[in-house]
Amino acid sequence: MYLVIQRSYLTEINLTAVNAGQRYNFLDVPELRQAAVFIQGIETFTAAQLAVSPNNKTVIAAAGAASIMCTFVVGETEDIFNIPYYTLVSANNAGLIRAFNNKKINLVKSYATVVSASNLNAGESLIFNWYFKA
Amino acid sequence: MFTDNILTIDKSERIVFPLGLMNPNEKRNFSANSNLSGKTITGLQWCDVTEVGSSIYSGGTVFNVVGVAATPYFTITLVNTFGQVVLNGCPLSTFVLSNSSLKKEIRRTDFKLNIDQCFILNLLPGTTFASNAALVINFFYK
Repeated sequence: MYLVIQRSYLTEINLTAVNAGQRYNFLDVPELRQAAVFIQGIETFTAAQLAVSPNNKTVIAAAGAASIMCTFVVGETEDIFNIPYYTLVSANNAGLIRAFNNKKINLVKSYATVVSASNLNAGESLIFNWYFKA
Repeated sequence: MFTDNILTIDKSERIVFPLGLMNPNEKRNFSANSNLSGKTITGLQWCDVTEVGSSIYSGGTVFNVVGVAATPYFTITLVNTFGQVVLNGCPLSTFVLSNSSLKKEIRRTDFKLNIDQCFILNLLPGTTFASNAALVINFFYK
């Protein structure tokens, strides 16, 4: 099964501090908030694929990917709970973009969790590319 | 949209995107292209030096294709014929086929482009590209 990219939007979470257990919620993105938006794929990045974010922040190192978990909320439910950031990096999965079944993700209630400070530095960013149809 | 099939190529257009004297954080638009204008883009591929070599001839000029080390420093933004941003700052590495850790089928897409509103963002810090530097991007379309 291959994703046919119709639209995508890149978002960033800047890790202002890296302490185990710390959560970072996603910021609101109007383009992804609309009722007609259905998420069909999520791709995350390490510095090996995108070294610097569009906001000029250093992207986390490849080794840091294992220190982050992601939870994506649909409505009020944590449908995708603590999926490893690593799992969503295409380069770790023979280039595959993880496909999602037309999820209406509630972005501001979704979050990334620092599970370990290993290989992460304050000021680095997590990068998420959301593939969607609208 | 999902499909069970890899891309069946109908037509393709190789674009040599000049990076000449491009500064860090500079955005540069694509040139108008009558072959792509209004056509449905079915796939996208960024060709690095592995696929096209380190120099490439286009429009009377020999360009130097940027090396693999520059791979993680570009994003692409594509705008459709309705003026909507369809790819917003998508890392170009998503579309590289030759990188061993990124190997994949050609990324399939489904949109019509207003190509001259689309642009590349250079995120390589502290470097201004040489006058003959270029990226090579393949657009598959029908």
